[in-house]
Amino acid sequence: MSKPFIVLENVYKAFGAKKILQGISFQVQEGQSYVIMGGSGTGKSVTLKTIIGMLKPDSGSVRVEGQEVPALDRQGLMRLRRDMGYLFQDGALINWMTVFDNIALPLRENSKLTEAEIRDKVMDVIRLVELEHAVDLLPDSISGGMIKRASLARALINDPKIILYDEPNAGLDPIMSETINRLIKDVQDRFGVTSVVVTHKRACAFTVGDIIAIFDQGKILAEGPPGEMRNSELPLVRRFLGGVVD
Amino acid sequence: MGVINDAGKLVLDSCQGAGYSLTLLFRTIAALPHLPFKVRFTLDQMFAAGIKTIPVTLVVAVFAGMILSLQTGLELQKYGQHTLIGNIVAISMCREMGPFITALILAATVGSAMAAELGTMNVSEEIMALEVMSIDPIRFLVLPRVVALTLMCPILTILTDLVGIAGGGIVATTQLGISFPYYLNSARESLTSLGQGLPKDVYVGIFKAWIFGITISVIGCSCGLRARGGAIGVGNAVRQAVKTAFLLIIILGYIVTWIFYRLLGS
Repeated sequence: MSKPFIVLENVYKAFGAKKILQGISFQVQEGQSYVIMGGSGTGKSVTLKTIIGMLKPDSGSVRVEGQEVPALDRQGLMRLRRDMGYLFQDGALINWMTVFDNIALPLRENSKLTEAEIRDKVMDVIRLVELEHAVDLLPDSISGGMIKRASLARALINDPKIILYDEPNAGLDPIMSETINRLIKDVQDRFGVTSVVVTHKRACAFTVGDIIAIFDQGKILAEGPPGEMRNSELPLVRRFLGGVVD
Repeated sequence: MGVINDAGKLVLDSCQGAGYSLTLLFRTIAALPHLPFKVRFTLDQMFAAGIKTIPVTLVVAVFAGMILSLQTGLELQKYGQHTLIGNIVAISMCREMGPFITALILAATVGSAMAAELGTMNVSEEIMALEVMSIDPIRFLVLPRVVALTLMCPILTILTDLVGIAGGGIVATTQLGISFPYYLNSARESLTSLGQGLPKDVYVGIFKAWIFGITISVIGCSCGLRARGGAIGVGNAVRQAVKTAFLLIIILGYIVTWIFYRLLGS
């Protein structure tokens, strides 16, 4: 039986008077893909940043691989993050580095691999995301879809056990969106990574999700397997997941 | 009440900014053992901070020397003391004007660029991406910039001193009727009159430049790393970096002068 890899219990987070998370609790099992959907400002991205330790919750528990994330010091967080990858909404590639250098960066900074070994490893993930033609280009000169794929390659370069995706399809056309969904699914199937995916796209949720959760006003309104969620009677769930899959 | 709130917020923000900048300075010093792994980035930054700034520094320095020589020389001429112009230009350039002019140029060009670069990286989540990849932004981004400017500011100051003295010499020769060899000789004598290996006026000026280099780079990086809220936030960070650096240059310049020429004696 798989073990819970990510556990959030009763997590609260506010920015000033604005309450963002109001008692969020969920578990993600090892190798599972947990999809978070919900309206803007319901705390989806804040949840991801809490999991990776970029934000500290006001109260509640956030455990990743059994470690209480808010209690970790800087060194502890850095060690934990080496097991994690994060796909930012806009890619967040370093704008003055080529695609190759961006993907190689975590290895150059954190590993003792030789440049030849780094090159082999980077080219492996570049082939996986089909970006062989863009290795020497700067982020400014590639499309949004290519930026997302490069960012995914960078997230994969450390062989992470967990990948967090912040709106991987945002701003992409339907074809590129489908390519990204396929890549995420491919990564899960091949490497067995545990994933948390924040998305607005039904197609993405149904393609990659083992569990889908709907956030509303900082709380989880409903969660369950895609088939169960598709047949939910709750109006908000039906608005997010019902009807024709886009 | 609104005015009191605004004033309180301003004081609080200023204290937070000062605290953040000091912490950044200490963390950069603590990251120094990692410098050998950042040689390439540091050389890139030295090129951007130093070599690219040379043309504007040369032009400003030569004209500053010429203005100083002309203004002072014309006044001295009234009393028949214009032959002292070499001494005055040399001492003024080395003690105060060289480091001050260089620091202002570097704050306006390099410090603002550092704030803009790091600010843009911050608002586009690139800094957060580095942290997520377990890469320390201070080691990766701040250390090379601070080291580069700390080294380049004194080097550029020496260049400014020399070019400023030469500019003063051009005016002394063409406008004040003093021969160039005489001017150079009096400049050299004024700097070496105490018989020290490295004249005090020169080393205090270089020390000031070193302090200014650290200040400009730490403030530029600090403002960039605290930038929030898109293009407006980056603009504010740049403005804040230049404003704070200018203020600190003039205040620290006075403090260093007071320490070396008043506290420790002339």
